[in-house]
Amino acid sequence: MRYTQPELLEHLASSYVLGTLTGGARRRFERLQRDRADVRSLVTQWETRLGQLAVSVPVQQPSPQLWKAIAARTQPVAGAVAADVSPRGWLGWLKPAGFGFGGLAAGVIAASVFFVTAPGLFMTSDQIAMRTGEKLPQSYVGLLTDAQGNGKLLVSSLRHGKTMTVKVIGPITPPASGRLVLWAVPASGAAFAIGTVPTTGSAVSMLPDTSEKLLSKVSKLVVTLEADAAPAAPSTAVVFSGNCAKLW
Amino acid sequence: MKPDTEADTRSLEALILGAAQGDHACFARIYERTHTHLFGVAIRILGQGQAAEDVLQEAYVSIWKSAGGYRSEVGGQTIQPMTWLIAIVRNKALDALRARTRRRESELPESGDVDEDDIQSASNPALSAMQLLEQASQALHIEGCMSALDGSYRQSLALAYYQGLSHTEVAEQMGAPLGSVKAWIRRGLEKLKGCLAAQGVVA
Repeated sequence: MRYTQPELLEHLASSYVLGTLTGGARRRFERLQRDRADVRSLVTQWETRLGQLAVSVPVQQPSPQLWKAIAARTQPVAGAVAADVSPRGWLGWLKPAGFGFGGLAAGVIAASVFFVTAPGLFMTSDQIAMRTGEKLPQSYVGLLTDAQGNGKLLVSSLRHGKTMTVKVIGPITPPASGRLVLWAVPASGAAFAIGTVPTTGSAVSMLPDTSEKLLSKVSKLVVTLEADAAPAAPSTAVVFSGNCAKLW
Repeated sequence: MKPDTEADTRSLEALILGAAQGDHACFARIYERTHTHLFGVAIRILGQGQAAEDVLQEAYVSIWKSAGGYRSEVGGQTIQPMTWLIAIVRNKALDALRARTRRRESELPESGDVDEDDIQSASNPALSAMQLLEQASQALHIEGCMSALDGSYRQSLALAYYQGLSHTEVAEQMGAPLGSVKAWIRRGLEKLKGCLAAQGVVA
């Protein structure tokens, strides 16, 4: 099933959080959450909504033994720390009772062989193609440079995803005031803001819709320095710019 | 658990951050502040008995291990620490409830062999799911908005949320067709979303 319809994802997220999504569908949706930031965001929204309903649940006092049991499982024990970080300590975690290192190694090898020989059970066709090096995932990407052509930012977003990653690839001097805003510039039509720009590292932000809907007619990306918190249009001070390309 | 006046002044979010860095005293304060509420959530779904305590134990161990995964903001949406904690407890309680249901379906109890949890969870809770939904609606100032929904819609939503019942179980309890219950719950969720949005909760 292709999870691209917003209504379907919204319904699945609300059912998951409520608890009425059960069995295999629940497990599949949990896997989807791990892969998709936009799905996690929907779930978080529903957790926030439905969490409000717990306000009326009467408090209850568990037995005093409960904390003791929790503490026994979580309290760091003197001496145990050293054991935990030693090779013997962490190997102990991997060694179930009566199942030695040979068994563990055999298990890892068997799982690896199964994973390699039957990847379709674990991955989508796109993921298999990516893994085998045949292609990159369908994405919108942009490489933005300064006026001198120095690479500054790498912008990427999966074609049907709702998140965008902006990675700093060249030194950026933080502005003394205002903020750096990333704009999508369609071939025809007005530019629209799609996020702010970090000055170090990378940032992931949510898009109001899928990249496909937002960027299919966008040919250029620019970054401007804006004083306004919510500018309606880019200022004339373009700091970085680059083409927006379809990676498929 | 020793009193920790320094930690007591910190917010729940700061305590979770401390726990994420391995500060067990912060974790103890999180437990102190939240366990009665979270135990109430577990009991609503699993009933009085050892199962609810087992789930709460697993939930707090999970909270300790995954405290570093708590994010106060996701996609521009502020996440209250209690929302995160409730979600962990509800998910574990729902898993335990479904596992119990599967066991019940696959095993016929022998004469005299009755699960203690079943007896206690079957006892009528002090407040019905519907009463809890009404109280929550009042506290959230959405009772007027939610009352526009037919009672069946609200009751099915309340049974699913507060007692963790599946669509089938809600249908059995209400004596209504499964298809109707699915539609009622879906409509109830949409209404709740709209009512909360009007109050500024997750537009």
